[in-house]
Amino acid sequence: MVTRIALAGNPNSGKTTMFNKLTGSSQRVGNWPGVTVERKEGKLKGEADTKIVDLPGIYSLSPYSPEEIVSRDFLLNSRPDAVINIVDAANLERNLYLTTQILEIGIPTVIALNMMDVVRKEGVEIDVDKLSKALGCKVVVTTAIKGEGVSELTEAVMSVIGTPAEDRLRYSSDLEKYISEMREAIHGKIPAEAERWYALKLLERDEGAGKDLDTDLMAKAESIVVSMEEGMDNDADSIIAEERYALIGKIVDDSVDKGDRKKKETTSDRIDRIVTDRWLGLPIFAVIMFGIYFIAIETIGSWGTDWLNDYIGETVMPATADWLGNIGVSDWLSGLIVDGIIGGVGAVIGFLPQMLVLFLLLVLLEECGYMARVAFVMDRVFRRFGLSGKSFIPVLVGMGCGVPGVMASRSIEGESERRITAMTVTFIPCSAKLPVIALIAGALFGQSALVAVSIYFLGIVCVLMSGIILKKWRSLSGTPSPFIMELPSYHMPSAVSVIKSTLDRGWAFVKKAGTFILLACALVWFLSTFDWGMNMVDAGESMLADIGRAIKWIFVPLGFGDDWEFTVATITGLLAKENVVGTFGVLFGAEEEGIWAAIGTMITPIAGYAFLMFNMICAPCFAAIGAIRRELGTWKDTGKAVLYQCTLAYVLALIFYQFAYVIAGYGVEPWIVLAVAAGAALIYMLASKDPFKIFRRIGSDA
Amino acid sequence: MPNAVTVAVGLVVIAIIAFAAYYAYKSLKRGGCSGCGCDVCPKKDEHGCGKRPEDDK
Repeated sequence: MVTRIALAGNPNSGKTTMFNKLTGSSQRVGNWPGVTVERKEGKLKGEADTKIVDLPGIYSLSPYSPEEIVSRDFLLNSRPDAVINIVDAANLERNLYLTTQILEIGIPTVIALNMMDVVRKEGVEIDVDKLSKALGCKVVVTTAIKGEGVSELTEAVMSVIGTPAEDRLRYSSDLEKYISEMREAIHGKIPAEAERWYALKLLERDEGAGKDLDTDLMAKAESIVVSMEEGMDNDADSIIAEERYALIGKIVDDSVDKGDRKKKETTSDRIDRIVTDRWLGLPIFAVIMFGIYFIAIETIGSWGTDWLNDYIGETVMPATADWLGNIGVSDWLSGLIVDGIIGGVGAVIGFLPQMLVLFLLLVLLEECGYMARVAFVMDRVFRRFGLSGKSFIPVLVGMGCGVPGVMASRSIEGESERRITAMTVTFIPCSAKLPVIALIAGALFGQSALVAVSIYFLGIVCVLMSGIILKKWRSLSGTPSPFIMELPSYHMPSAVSVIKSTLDRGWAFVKKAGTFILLACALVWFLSTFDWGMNMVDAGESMLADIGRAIKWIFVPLGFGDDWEFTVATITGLLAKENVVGTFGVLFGAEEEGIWAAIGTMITPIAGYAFLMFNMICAPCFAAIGAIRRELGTWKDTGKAVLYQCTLAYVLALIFYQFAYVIAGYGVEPWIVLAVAAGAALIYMLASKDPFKIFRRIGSDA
Repeated sequence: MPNAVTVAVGLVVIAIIAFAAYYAYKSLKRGGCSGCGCDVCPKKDEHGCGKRPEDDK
């Protein structure tokens, strides 16, 4: 029989780190809430029949947020054999609020008093024995990130399985009287071991707790609640919360010696005063992002990429072509292997060094705790635009890949905010878009990091603009969700975790290049090598060229519609953004100079930037569209989201190209009229209180 | 007629492309997983992708 142990605790208490230590797995650890959107399962190391279930981080067992519902349903309905409650020792009082509720459910529980290294540094002493006696359960001191106390925790939790849970927590005699009354009323109607928890929840008027009880019993419960409110002269919610905090306060006073903690300002506090400052927070973030892209794209990363591109283009491709020629392979097959597969995939793989450097720096920022501050800083900005810092967390996640970014929007309580976030999170450049940015930056802007930074902030601006515009659409209107987030103390990232996370992401990139991109490159090679009569021809006379020429007019106002190559690269990019680079690799050769020179002679920097803008903002890859479909629920809404993304991308690239063309002194194109009209429409959408009324009028007329 | 070497190399290329197609199909069928690593994926161990439990039903 399989034994199940639930891992429960507040957000940022180190649950996922502990989960990884207990199971030996490598789930992503995030320094922001919402990383564990749903429960995750893994086998306890050394115990094949014991499963560990990592529940989302929660502050209480009330059914308000999706995370709370998932955790509460699991604890109540699935009733695991034991619970490990991860408690952040540095924030003991707040964490114990959840602990008291878990203990009342009646499942054997062990408390992991985590982050003890931080507590010791602050000069605080916790009497573990006293705490254990007061709570009525085992307490084990742990520092999950260093693996301290993990084996003791495993031993402790295995020893409590099968034993009855202690019921030691007692509130004031007044409240205990009503709890007893409620327990008497519900006795026999709910599982006996969770009777106390149900009694307290019913006293709180928790609707979920009473959903299976009959009307008469609920009427009786309500009468007890009313008499409690009258007797204790307060509303039910406040009575229970105050009693819990009073009990927690007493437990903490008895078992914690805070020393001179209150007087001390920690290093984290001092750093936070600067990086989360109302005025400095955002500029500091911009400078850090510039630094990251400068290192990844302009300097260290680019040295590796230059070398790898040259190696693939100047050594691997000619050597393979020679070898295939020597053994007598037909020219067309040699072309497929060398120009199609190696050329296309090689052009993408060539960016691996830049990707690895970028991943490494982003992981470092996440792990040290800075990215959590960014979410806090961005909350102020996002709130002004009808969104909240909760919407910025998917944006942070989406920098790795749009698919988990879209999924992370699930943790947002507000329906409209969640849908808007799912629709717009892919505006942020994910790792698949980085090779495209690096390619255009290299070919047209001397590898300037400013290109990547500007595209990153363009993504954020698009999310914010969309917040303003889409909130005016009736079905998406609503107020921003409250954003509560605990800022973890800054800490030195673990080298193993940073390297592993970086390599995991790098490997995922290589895997994708070797499968999705390889497939697309083979197709692009086929279409660019044969004409409709299946004769081998130059690319300019191929099927691909014909397809590109048939639709390139769409992009003429954006400056990159004169050459069919840019049109087909944009289309293949809809499958996966790396395909933009892969397509150029097939058409122009993998070596850096080949692609750069070809792009440099075909379009101006202004048109190149418009090309980049369009490709970064328009519909994401198929996988991300699939993820958006799962979040929005229907293909109809997904179609609307994709249409919105493509329209916004087109409008922004059009406005940029046409105005930049005039400012750069190239003259005036007739398309400027379209750009002015699009700009006016965009301003109207942003400024008008109800810009969509015209659509409703058309709808009602029809 | 292609020579024997071309046929042999061609078969290897077909096998590689078939594997890539199979992987891509499997990934997309698993719920849009692009092989991105999906390190926030809630069901990573079971699906290797971001599919929700209710998607299984």
